[in-house]
Amino acid sequence: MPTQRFAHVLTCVLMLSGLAGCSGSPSLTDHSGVQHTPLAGEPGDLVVVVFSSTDCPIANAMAPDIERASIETTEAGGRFYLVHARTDLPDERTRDHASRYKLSMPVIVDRSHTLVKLLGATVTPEAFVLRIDENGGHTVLYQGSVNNLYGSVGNRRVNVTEHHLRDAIRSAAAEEAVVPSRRTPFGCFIERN
Amino acid sequence: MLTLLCCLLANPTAEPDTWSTIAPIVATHCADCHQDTGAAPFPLLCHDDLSRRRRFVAEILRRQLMPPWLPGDGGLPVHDDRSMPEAERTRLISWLEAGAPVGNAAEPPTTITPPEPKALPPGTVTVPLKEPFSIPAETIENEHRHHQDTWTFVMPLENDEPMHVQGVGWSTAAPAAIHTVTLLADDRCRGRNRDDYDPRVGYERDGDLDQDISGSFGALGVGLSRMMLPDGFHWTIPPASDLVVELKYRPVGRELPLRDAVQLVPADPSGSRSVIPVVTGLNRVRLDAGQADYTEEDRFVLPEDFDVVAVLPRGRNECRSMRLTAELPSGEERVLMDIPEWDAHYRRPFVFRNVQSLPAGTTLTSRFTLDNSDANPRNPYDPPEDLRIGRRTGVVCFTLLGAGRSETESQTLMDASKWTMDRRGMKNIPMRTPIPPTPTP
Ligand code: HEC
Repeated sequence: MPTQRFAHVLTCVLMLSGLAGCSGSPSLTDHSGVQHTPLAGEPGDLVVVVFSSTDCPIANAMAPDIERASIETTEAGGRFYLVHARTDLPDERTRDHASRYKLSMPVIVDRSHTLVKLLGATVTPEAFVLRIDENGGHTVLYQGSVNNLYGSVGNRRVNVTEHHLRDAIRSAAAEEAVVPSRRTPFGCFIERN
Repeated sequence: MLTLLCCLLANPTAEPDTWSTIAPIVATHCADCHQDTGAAPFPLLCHDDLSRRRRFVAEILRRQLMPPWLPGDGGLPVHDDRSMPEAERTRLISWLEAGAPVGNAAEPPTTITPPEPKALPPGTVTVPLKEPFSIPAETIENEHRHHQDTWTFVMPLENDEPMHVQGVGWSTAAPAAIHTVTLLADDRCRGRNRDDYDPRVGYERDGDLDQDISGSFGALGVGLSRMMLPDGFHWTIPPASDLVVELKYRPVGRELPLRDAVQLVPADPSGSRSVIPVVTGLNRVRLDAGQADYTEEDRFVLPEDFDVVAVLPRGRNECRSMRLTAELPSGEERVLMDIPEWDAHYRRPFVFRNVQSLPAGTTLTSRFTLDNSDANPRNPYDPPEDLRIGRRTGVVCFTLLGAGRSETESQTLMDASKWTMDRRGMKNIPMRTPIPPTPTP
């Protein structure tokens, strides 16, 4: 399968969300109160965003694998964000969830669905591996499933035998093409507001 | 337009549904599991619980994934029936698609009160799990490749007298992670020996002991925390027995410590008969990776009259469908259990509302269709692996619980069933699939 590249160039439209940082990239606060602009940074930066939800059994079942992906990303010099695609999630629930599932990465609640819309996320969990471009935009190197635990919604396998996200992170970190660059993610729908 | 038409047909009053007319449907079909202490991962009790995931819930309903219910239409009536009538499913979907309207905006939408857990009958004996055990965050690649996410515990009863039990229950600290609990009484220390061999708490295997199949002394499933035999039937647990309990769990992404316990509801044995298991099914399965649409049958002729009170199906997820029929000497054919879409996750016992009396000479036919290709979305392995598995108690099978007319006849039935399950001989059972190297985490 040829490597497809999806480029999203950020525009000032983002400013409308009221959350845009000075570079035009959305700025959001994580569960420890730290501000992040996930889609901004130095050209060449590796950024991984995984959309999740505190009560989606499919996303939660993959929490340990998501945590391992986050450690690999940081070790490769990249940044990793877990983004809860919920419009109404109190910070304490997010903190509680992160501690119960032993998640160490910054956890962001995308209350206005800014990142959801920008990246076009549809379900949780859904992963994006991005590279920050010269012009301040980004290129999507991989979009899709975290692993093959689910054959489809309602059909869970016993073992994970393919680590789609971690493979993508390794390829991206090694400056290799991510093949395939898209895999259908199975999970709980993100209800757009 | 079509959905609107369906909606109008299904809802005779033709008033568009609002939360006040939908809440009773959710209360009946979802709330039992979808509450804070239930088996499901999130509550479905208030309007917002549904409204904020309405597209997802509608899709799950359309795909018939919820509520979980294995038997097909038109089966024999059973207790704890969780099937959802099509008309109500259609109304719920239409309401969700219409944006989940609240209705009367003047009043705040009501919240469903989840049903109270049924009180334990007086005299119920509770046996707690003594040693601490936690369900791991993820499936552990283990030695018994075919027993993954399965753990067995020995719970000593220390009973000097035989115990007569009409019902069994399981209370758990991890309702969302445990899917099937099956019980066996053991007065020969077979479970203890296996337990001693494994240094950990409990042991890593299924709960079968030699020719005795786990579940012969009751079983529980997702959202089913108690199994009661009909009046006039009980289990007899011999003196000085251990309960050997097989837990099938599904890791939820974080470790969950159990503080679980078995409940034994006492029976009055006078005028009541002791139930025994009769098993019919396949005791070895040999399916190459990629092999699809494989069907095999087993037959068992009852040597005595048999009053069947419950059926417990068993199967791995390479199994797609299973069916149990009884052909009576009169020529009448009765479908005892038909499962068109098997999913081991929702395995549970089915207690018939009416005892099924099968005369001697009745042929029980169990039929299983398996698919070990990647077209089977529930194939446990991706990519599919060669399946070589044998078990004297049955790899895919039905356990029928019931009683003969006398103790002697019950014994004859049970012995014949064990002999039949064993008759193919263990020597023909192929070796276990080799364990592939563990991928580096
Ligand atoms: C017998 C218990 C039970 C009943 C009744 C039940 N559910 Fe569930 N539900 C579950 C369990 C268990 C899960 C988690 C499945 C998993 O982990 O794969 C679940 C998950 C779900 C999900 C998430 C999708 C998924 O596969 O994880 C939705 C949506 C859902 N249920 C809707 C409903 C609705 C709507 C009803 C009523 C019409 C209902 N359920 C009735 C037990 C139940």
